[in-house]
Amino acid sequence: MEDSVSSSNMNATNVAQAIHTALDWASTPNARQNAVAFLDSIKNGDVRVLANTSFLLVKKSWSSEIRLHAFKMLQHLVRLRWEELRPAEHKNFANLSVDLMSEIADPCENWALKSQTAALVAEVVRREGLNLWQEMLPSLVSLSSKGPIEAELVAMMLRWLPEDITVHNEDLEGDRRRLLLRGLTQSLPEILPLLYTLLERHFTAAMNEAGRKQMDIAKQHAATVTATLNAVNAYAEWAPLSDFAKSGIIHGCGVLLSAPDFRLHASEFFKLVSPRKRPIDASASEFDQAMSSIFQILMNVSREFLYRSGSGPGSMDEGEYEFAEFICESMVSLGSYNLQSIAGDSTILPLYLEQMLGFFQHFKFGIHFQSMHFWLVLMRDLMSKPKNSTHSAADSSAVSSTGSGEVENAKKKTLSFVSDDFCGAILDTSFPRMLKREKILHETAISLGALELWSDDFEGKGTFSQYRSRLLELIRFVSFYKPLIAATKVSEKIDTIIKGLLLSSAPTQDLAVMESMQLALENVVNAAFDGSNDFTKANAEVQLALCRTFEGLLQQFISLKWTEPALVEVLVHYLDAMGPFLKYFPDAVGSVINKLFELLTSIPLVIKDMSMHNARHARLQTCTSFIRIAKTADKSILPHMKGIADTMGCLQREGRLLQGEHNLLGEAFLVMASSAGIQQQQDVLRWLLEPLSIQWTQSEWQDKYLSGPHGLVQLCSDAPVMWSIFHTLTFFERALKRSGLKKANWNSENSSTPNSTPLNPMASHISWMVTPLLKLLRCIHSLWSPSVSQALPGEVRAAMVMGDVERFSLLGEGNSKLPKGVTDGSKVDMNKEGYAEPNESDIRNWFKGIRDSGYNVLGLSTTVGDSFFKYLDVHSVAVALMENIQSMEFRHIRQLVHSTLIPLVKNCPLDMWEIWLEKLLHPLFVHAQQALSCSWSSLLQDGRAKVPDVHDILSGSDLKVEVMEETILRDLTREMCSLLSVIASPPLNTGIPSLEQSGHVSRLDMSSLKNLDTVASCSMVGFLLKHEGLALPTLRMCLEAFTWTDGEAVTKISSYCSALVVLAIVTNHAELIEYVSRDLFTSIIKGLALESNAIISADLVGICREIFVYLCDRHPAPRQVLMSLPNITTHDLVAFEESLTKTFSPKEQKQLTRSLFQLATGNKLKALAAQKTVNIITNVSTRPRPANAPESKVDDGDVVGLAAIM
Amino acid sequence: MALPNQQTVDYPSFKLVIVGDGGTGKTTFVKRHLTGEFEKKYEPTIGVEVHPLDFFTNCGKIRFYCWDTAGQEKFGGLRDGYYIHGQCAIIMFDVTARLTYKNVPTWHRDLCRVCENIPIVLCGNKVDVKNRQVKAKQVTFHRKKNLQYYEISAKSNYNFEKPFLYLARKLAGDANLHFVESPALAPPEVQIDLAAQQQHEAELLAAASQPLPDDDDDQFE
Repeated sequence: MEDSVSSSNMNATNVAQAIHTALDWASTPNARQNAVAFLDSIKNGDVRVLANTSFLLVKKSWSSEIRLHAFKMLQHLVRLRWEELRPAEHKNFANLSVDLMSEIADPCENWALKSQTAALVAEVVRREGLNLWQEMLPSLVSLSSKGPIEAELVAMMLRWLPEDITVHNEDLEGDRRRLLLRGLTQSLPEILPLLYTLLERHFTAAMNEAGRKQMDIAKQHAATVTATLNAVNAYAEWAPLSDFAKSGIIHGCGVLLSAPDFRLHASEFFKLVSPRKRPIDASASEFDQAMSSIFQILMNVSREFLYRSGSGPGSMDEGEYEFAEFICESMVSLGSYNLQSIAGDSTILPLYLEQMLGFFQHFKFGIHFQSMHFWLVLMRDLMSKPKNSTHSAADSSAVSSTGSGEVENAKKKTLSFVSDDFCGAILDTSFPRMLKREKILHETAISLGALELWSDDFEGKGTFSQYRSRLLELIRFVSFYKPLIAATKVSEKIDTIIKGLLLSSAPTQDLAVMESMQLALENVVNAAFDGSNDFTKANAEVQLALCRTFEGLLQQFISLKWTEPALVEVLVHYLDAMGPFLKYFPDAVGSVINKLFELLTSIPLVIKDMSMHNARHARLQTCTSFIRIAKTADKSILPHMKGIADTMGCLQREGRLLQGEHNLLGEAFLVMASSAGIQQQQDVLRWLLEPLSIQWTQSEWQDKYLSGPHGLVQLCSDAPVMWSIFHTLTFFERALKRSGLKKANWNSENSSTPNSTPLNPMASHISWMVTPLLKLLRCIHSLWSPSVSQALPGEVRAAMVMGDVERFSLLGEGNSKLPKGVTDGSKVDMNKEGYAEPNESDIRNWFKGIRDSGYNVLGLSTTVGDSFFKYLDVHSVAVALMENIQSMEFRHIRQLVHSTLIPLVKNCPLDMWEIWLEKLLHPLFVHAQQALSCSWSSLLQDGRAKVPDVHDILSGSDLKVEVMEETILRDLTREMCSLLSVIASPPLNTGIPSLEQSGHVSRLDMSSLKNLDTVASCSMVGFLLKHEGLALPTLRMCLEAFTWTDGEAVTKISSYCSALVVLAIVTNHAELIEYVSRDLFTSIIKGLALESNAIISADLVGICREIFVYLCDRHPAPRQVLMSLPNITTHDLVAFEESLTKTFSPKEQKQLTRSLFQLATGNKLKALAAQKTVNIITNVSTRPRPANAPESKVDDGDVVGLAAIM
Repeated sequence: MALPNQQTVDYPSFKLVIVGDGGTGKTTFVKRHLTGEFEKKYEPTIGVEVHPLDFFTNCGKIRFYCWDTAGQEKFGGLRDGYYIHGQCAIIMFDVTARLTYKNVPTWHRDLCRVCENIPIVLCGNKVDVKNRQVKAKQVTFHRKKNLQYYEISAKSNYNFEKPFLYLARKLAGDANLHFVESPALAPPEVQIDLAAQQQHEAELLAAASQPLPDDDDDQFE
């Protein structure tokens, strides 16, 4: 026996030494490592040695670190090695643990070790389960009555146990967890009353001992109260709320809210229970009663706080405010989740709302911020439509128990308590808080007194913009509910601010206050005049009062004589905010417009001094305001449009309105006109465009600048005229876009009688705009011709080179940072008025702008009825666009085709084809075909496309130049193919019949074949073929496209090829048949060898099928082409033809064709390889080739040598 | 409380315990502060490193003795011994590893059962990494336990000072305390995408006004 005791003591000493060594910062790494290894061997060694040693080391005679480690080893044993002990040893271990709680109850004991003792007991209970727990509970109850420290230990244990069961339970399997939780739940009738008893007993004792100046003993009792509150909180989230009520805990915690030493811990309890959800079962009424009592408790505390806080900011310390913030948080949770508990009480509910308003009005930001959430939730719910709310503050779970009717009744009742005074107070509080502390003047801050505004120093509350948007949302809800009060309040507030600014010696420095109210006004006006606002519609008197209030405010804005740019800008924003009001009060529109013009003309025109950024910005904001008001005021502004147009024209003539500003105002007109009829649109356009047309049609500037390249160069040094032309053109473009037909004009029967009324209001303006525009474009195009470009000044020549932004977009470097100093924006500066000497960058931007808008104007003009085609001279158009086509860069040709020629082709009336199409398309097709052929040949053979666009670009690596070149080449290729696909589109080819759908090889009666002239009268493809100058380059381009590695281009051109095939089939045009049967057929098969055409291969095979099926009997070429394939035999061809005649399905015929191609080329057609097709015809692919059969090739001198290419 | 035999300083100092799973960046975080790195006293193979980090506030200089603990051992080891007398704490998890966040409650439990009522900051580290597994709105533990939560990135120095500022304010009892001089930090090793991070912070704020989920595990299913 003695040996055994000595051995345990020896072991304990060794372990203690090891712990000390391991934790000692001064130990050597080697010593520490050895110590840790030794401790591990004990922990993993004999379980009884571990237990005995640890129980010895938890005694008071050892240091805190050693004792703590011993507790940890015991907890480890219980959690992970408990099964190694026998049941009798389990019981003994449990008893020793509980005894430890008695031993450790010492006033001088370290809190951490008391905590670990309680944790150990909790761990044992967790491990042993229900039986031990039920045995142990009476012992714990009696232990807790021995003294404050014992009670503290029991409270700690009662805290750790539920935490370890409900939170830290990852090691508990499902069954054990449920059993433990059930046991704990069944014990609640004993645990909760015990906790209440501890609270009452030790709180009373603490007060008594403190009264007797026995502070040490008082602290012991206080520690017990704190520990008990922490224990209560461990149950607060999951135990039934009614149990807390019955056991008196709710009452007890309520009492402790008045005790400074315990109120924070007690408020934690209320914070945890306030968001509890109402149960759906029979205990709901008990829940409601408990929640109602919680309301009472918290409201009492709130009332006291608000009362004392109201006596002045200096009357309370920071701790009070921190506590109040906690209470406010609980009150918010109550109101957001459990308002139904008091919703039926007409006495408590209004008091609660009043207190929440008090919190919202509080000068402490933290308290205000907490309560804002409640008001947002409440107002959002009350303002929501019936049955739309998913989160009801009025009755969170009434839907499932009583139906939605009850919800609406509860809403109405709650809404009745949100009175006019409440709404007014919310607004009065919200308006000043739209400011940020850092932005206001010192004097303004003084006038606000103790009010804590938003500050960037606040932690965890997001950003100011997030906070402000919530305030605005709340303002909007209140305005929606009480629009008249909101209107009155916002008017009064703004009135006060304006008066303050008028008295201020430096008004522009205190603009933050003024600016902050603009957003509020905007939300109020929007809510008040929202069409869906039932509160306004229901009451005509309210509506009248609203108009009167806003009319007064508007008059005040109009009467202000502000001319400072910063003040003007703010005022303009206020006028914007009134837009929705003007929609309902048209009488005020005139004065608003006059005010805007007054403000605009009061700001000096920026001509020379480029540093007056504020003035320019204010002027542009004012012009933009017209657009915004036009959008919101809707039809109210229509009667004033003529007056506005006249004023605009007058100002511009007097030189008091820049043209960029004129364009902004003109845009507003286009917005206004879009809500009116066509007659009004015509009037508006006349008002806007006639002043421009007068300038535009003057021959003086045209003779001077547009007579030739020399004049244009001169124009490039005359900045005002330069940019004036730009603005006129861009505005005309916008007018066209806004007034054009929404759908493309696909009516091929587009001829109308000469006397018919034009359908589009822009039709009458086409003629005066386009004639000078054509001259301008001709001059620009001529700059690139060799004879002209060599003689140009260096600056102009440099401007003709591709800009950096264009290069970056071609290279895919969209995010590349431009070199410092480069101001070459991808978007032309709309504010450019040209009062500085133009430089290379300006000229380049101007060229680009004129080209962009000019091409667009021409293209859009073709969509405005047939005015373009009837009244313009085709010769001047052709000269302007095509005279220098051979000198144009690829990117410019592409843009011309895209913006002008494709729309022109689409919209040209049928009876005008003869006049227009050949003159325009012939030069284009001839040049484009040659240029593309040359560049693709260079790309495919040499690896470089050699396009004209990059001849002058020296910077960048060779690789970059190659990438740009290839991109430009592909873009033009695809655009030309797009043009051909438009030409082949069904609406432009109604004369082409559809082939027999049955697919059966039908021998067309020769007498039914049509003459090409007959078809060409209503088929654009036929029209092209009839004109040799158009036909030859397009037919060449078709053949060559199949050799270019651009699947997208082939996709586009295949529809043109398809149209050619159909024309060959239905007409008797021998040359076309020869072309299709031999050349096109051959090229398509070659194209199928390119992998880039895989995407379109199905269509290509379909075209080949049609060629063979319909033309092989009329021309020998289809068979000859197939026989020239490297792997085909006569037998294969015969078998193929027999298979075709046996099926009526075009789909099957296509599959047969595809299979033949793969067989005949030895599967070398890459476009077909990627797609797996079931080969349903076996007699073709499996036909054995007789070894000794004689070859019987058709010997024909016209065979195309496909075999050589394969 | 200063270390035994450690040279004492004549300005306030506090024991700061840094806990969390291994690999979450605790050591990297502490080492960003260069003064603390230079003044590091020892480098044991296991256990704890203590880094004295000085900060300059409007109320004078303060020092945090940062106890950077090894995170590998989960239960019953020597780790808790270092918590004794801790006056404040940082619990760190890695936003790119879900498990490190799921273990936060365990770290918090062990810490709270040794240190009574100390201010604690929860830090989600490595927010510079794009592929984060723990979304900002999924972080809810701090709301249940009244901790402060910061998203940080040790390698980019993002929000480095905020945990220390929060703890300093709590320990001093002065909500207006602020740092008057930035500590010398190691240069960032990565650049954080501030726009994306602001988005995450906005999500965090939006989630704060939503009711707490009943069970954290549901978030990850």
